[in-house]
Amino acid sequence: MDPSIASLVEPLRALLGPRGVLDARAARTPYECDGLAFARELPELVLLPRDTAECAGAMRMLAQAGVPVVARGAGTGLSGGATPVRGGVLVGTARMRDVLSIDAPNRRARVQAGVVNVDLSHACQRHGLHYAPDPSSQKACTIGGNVAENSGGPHCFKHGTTSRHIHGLVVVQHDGSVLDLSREGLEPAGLDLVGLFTGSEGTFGIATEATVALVPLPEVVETALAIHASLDDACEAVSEMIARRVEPSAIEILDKLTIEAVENSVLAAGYPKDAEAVLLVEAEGCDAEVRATMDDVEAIARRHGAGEVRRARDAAQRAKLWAGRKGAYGAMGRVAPDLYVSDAVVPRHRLRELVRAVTEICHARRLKVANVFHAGDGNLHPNISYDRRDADELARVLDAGDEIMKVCIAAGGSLTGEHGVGLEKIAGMEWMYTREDLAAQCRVREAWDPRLRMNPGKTIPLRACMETRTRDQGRA
Amino acid sequence: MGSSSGTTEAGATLHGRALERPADAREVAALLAEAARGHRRLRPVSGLRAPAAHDLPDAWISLERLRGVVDWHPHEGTITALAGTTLAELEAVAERDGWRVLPQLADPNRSSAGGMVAAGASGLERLRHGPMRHHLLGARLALPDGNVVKSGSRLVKNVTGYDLHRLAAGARGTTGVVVEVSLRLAPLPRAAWTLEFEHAEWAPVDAAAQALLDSRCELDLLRASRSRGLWRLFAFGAGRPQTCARMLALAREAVRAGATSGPADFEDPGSPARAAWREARAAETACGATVELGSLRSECSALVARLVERGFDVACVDPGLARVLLRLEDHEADRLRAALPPGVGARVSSFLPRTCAALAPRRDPARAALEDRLRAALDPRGVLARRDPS
Repeated sequence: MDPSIASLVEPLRALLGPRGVLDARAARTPYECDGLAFARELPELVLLPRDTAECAGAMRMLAQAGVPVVARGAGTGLSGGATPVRGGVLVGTARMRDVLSIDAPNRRARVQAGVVNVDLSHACQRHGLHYAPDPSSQKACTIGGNVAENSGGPHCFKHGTTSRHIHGLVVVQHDGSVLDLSREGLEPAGLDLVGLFTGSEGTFGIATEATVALVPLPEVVETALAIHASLDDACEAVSEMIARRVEPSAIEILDKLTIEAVENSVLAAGYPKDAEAVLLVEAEGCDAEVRATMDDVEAIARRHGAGEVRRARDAAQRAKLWAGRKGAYGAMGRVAPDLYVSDAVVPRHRLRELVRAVTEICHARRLKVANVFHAGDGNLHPNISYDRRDADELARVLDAGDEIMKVCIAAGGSLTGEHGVGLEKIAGMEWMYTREDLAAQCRVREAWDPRLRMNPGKTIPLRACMETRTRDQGRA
Repeated sequence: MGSSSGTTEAGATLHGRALERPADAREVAALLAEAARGHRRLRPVSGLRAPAAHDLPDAWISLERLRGVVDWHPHEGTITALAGTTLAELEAVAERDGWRVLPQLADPNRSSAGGMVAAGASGLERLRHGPMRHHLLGARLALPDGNVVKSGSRLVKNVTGYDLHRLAAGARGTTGVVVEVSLRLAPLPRAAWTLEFEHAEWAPVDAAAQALLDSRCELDLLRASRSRGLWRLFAFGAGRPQTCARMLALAREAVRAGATSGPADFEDPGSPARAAWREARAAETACGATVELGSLRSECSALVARLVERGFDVACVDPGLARVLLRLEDHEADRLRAALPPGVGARVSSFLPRTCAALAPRRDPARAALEDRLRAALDPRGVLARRDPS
């Protein structure tokens, strides 16, 4: 352990208690990676503060020692945003799990960063409210992690990603100072710092509390499963739904390999194994709205070759249809030991063409790819099964991941729709943005964290930041 | 400065200051860079509205020549336009293919896309559709370092890099000049409904509003306005015809249940509803409000009652948004400040020096320092800085 960090262990233990400081190797090992399993680094120390004050105190000590810091929620992120950095300390929010208040009349809640996404919705249910963003990992992922990544989920088609649902934040900054942005009104009292912070991937500071928006539980919910004979047809159906301005709350596609994995697992949802693709669509609202929307959905799906459309309003039936979608990543574990989940966004009127291109990229590299994605948002998730112990296969996976991003960007798409840039896509930032674009982003990052100690090496290429510094120093 | 650019018209002025009219984003950035070198202050102006005649910059940059739709695909539901394009022009393009531009501002012929972003204007139907920043997918910004930079994208979903466009939303041009805007569109509704309710007293109007908000009725707009001693509650919704019929029934039921007295006056769904909505949209600019107060929904009723009791001229109330618009004279500023309970935020939309000073938010020093650093990161020489207290 670095001596500057070793000297902090006892003072930190005095501040955070024995359970708040993990220095034994075995205790630190679970934190060496997030969902991007091939990128691993053992943190020098893991800190688990219980609240803002403890987090701020710890950050002050780390600032004095000049130690790099990586924040971590539940570690479910898929882009390596919570991968530790060499010689750095990891600050986790696992012990900040309190729902501090639920303000039903104003439809908001104040929570600690470590509250699990689905637990918040459960806590609000008795008030007839819920928290709308629902990442597939919602049974494990935390609100703080969702804020860092601006996370999405199936129902973000209607409700939008996390940034739409965050009213306020409490942020511990790089030097341990606390920035209270929790009392924002209808409009920010100045610059929209909450909007800027959300999705900054832990590079601006650590959010320790969030004030989130809650939405009423819908009066009626209906889920439909359209069974298609080809993935192309399912994609075309979605493009037509967008073109015809049909507005359900979620539009998802699962392809054949995903269906097989789900149906062969404990999560079997009754998807037909012989289908090439299924379209999972949900609508919510009043009875008339839901009925009309789902009639439109069914008609479009049938026009694009859906031989069968199953519609469910019963909560148990709907839950079963969703269980397959939500458990798809887990079920893919049957196919290979590791899963690389890519995340790109494409224009929705080009879904068929680009899903096909992505599949061909993988097949050309002898890789097994399954597609399960937020089709309504054009948010692709090609899931490549692999074994990280096979170096050649891992290299082909990474090459395919790069090529997928390049093809999507060339088509007017973007690098990431909800997983973040993290470590995984940092090289791709230079494909999507010019040097000048990145320089401006670096300057904004330095305004929050002048010494670039927060999650270094993530989100923005360090080279761009160094170039900015050199240029600015030259000007001075 | 006008001589530096071949396409800038020489001699035009506004409030006695030069008015630059660059032809494109590159020219905007070049003007900013030149101002940075000369330690001069510039301020963007859409060219469609007269800017306030105080805290004058050294020159204005009119964006009226940056006009036109840059990217539009009717099957995608997004639109990208240059900053000087009016919202009416955007609406004309989008509505042909069944899409609706959000937000819907009071005067689309005089509101530009860039001005809307810079002002953080969220429009009348925020209750259902959210603030402007939720519809803003991305932007291009001209910076005083002479560059035009991109933030966000033209896609409905994207989390790549930092959202500098969110920093520009509502920043009044102090974090860069917005030269291009990408927006998410919503389906153009096929039908609409309205409900109106009038009463001389605030309490029954408030009861009706609360009943509507507590019901399952999906409201695009809920506004109580006061004119000539009479309160008028106006509710508006839009969507499929069958949904509108259901919502109107729910609204009627809610108001009948909630209102303790007073007559109710309903309109049927269809074209009269759109006409009534247009009237409400026009009334937004005509109400003459100078101060906007924001509180929590649960505290809005009591706030309005208190203001009315103390004789303030309440122009409009948006109960669902907990927003109160006041027609305030500058000499009433201190009295208003004394009347406001803690936690109520205020924005002054006209230049009223005493009001601006009295209602200026207490800035958290840590927040203020960060905002200063962020502005300095994008505009180190203060070319776009403002000094007015509003």
